[in-house]
Amino acid sequence: MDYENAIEINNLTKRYDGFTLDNISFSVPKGSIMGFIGQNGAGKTTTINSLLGIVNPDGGEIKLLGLDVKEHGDEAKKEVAAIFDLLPFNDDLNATQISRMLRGLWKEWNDETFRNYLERFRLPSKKKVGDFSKGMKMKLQIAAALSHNAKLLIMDEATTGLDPVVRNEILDIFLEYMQDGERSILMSSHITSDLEHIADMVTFIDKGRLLLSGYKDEILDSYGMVKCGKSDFSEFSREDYIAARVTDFGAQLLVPDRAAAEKKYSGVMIEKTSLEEIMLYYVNRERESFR
Amino acid sequence: MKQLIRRDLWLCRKAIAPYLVIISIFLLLASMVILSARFGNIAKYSGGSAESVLDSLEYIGLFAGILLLCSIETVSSLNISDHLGGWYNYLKASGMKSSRIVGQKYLDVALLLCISWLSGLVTNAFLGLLAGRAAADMGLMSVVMGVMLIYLEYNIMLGFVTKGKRNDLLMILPLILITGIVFIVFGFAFGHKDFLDILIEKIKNFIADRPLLYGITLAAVVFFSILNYLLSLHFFNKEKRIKLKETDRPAMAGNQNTMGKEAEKCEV
Repeated sequence: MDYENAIEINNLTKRYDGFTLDNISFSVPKGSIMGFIGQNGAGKTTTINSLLGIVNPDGGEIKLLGLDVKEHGDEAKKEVAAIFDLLPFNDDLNATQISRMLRGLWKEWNDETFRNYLERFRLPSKKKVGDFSKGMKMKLQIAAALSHNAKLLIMDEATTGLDPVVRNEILDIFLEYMQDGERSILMSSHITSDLEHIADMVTFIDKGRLLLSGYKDEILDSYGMVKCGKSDFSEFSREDYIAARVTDFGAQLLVPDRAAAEKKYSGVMIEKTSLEEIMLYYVNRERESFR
Repeated sequence: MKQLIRRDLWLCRKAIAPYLVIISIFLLLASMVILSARFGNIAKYSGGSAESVLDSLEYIGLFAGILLLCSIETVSSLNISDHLGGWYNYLKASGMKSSRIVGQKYLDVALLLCISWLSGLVTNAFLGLLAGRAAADMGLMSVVMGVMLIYLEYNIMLGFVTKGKRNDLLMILPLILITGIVFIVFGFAFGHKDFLDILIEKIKNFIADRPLLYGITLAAVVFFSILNYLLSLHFFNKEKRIKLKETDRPAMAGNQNTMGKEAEKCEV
């Protein structure tokens, strides 16, 4: 089936006691990597679980690889690979047994591809996975995900808790996976530096609401960090910045439109910002120490 | 599906192994005693007791089947660990239907039941051969296994209801209820001798009326198996009620935890 977007989410809603995922809408174009950012409890896992059919949404429409999950969910998921933060395979199994087991689960399972990834990741095939380190378990999960010709990878905090060397290795694998231009990745993470490294697009969610979604480079080009004195800060209109951090020594403001701010407020220093700073200022905009 | 059943049985093997060891030991001891009762010291020196020894020992075969059936409890434990370890979420994410995911555990049970019953048959036949007589009646063993199966499937269903959270009270609740009923009935009966005599007579007749006994047992097994499966499927599809604790809620103003970092790191 031909499709433009690997993932399409429209008005996704899910209610729990004390938390609501509120009308989330975004798309992941085919051939792109979407970074899905939010702090703990923001709704990332709920969104991903809704995509994967682990929870049933209360409203909204979800399409995976062009197929509506309500009507063709099972068919769509045959080409989707999920990677969770914890290894879902029992600790008593070894990689060879897992391969045999997954052969029965995935029609397009490729033993040779799996064995090649095991070799590449230097994972023992006969050792129980319960004895693997966290990094090894994640590599095993990734090896399994990449061994059944999945067109879409959905990852929930896959790199959290891994050391920088392992994370880098894994990110390189994902970039390799994307080379044919037909595959897509949705990756939720706290680690914004990873997403800056590989994501084409980012979506930011906070308290169950979508705050930001777009191309990463456009966002980074558009947003800026103003550094100025308190007197200069008093001249800023509230609608021109997202949040400001004011101390006795000066102020730092996150502005959504750097070019416009440079034009309007000449004389102040406006620097490039990072995804991490954008997210921190959005999340903390209601705090007393931010304005 | 075959590979997934193999996975379940492979994971249960550690728990099943002790039962096989116990059965092997009993089989060995029973064989020695039977041979002694036929040809050895028991035959020579115990007089007429050798016959009663042979009568009772052949039931070891039936005991083997019943004991092995207890290994179904490992499927119940596996069900809990599959819930908690994320295996069921992985299966759901792969597009596998809930009916298959749940059904697989009941298929495991059916397989273990067949293996247990066959073990009972084989050991029973073997000991019967050693004892020089026909194999013991498998009917009573089948009835006992049927009743046990209902309870063991109930435990599996419980795993789906509680979504992997072990609840010991619910697990033993049927046993408490049955024990309670038995105590009440027999407690009343002991105070009324006529009633007790009638009750014991009725129980004996019921056990003796094999077609009725087998029929009721089979009907009960089928009914409760279907009921347990349907309840398991219903609760498997029902979502866990999640009530967020204060610490789980997204950062509000003043909350230190932002993006997993301490707020101090934001200080200018």
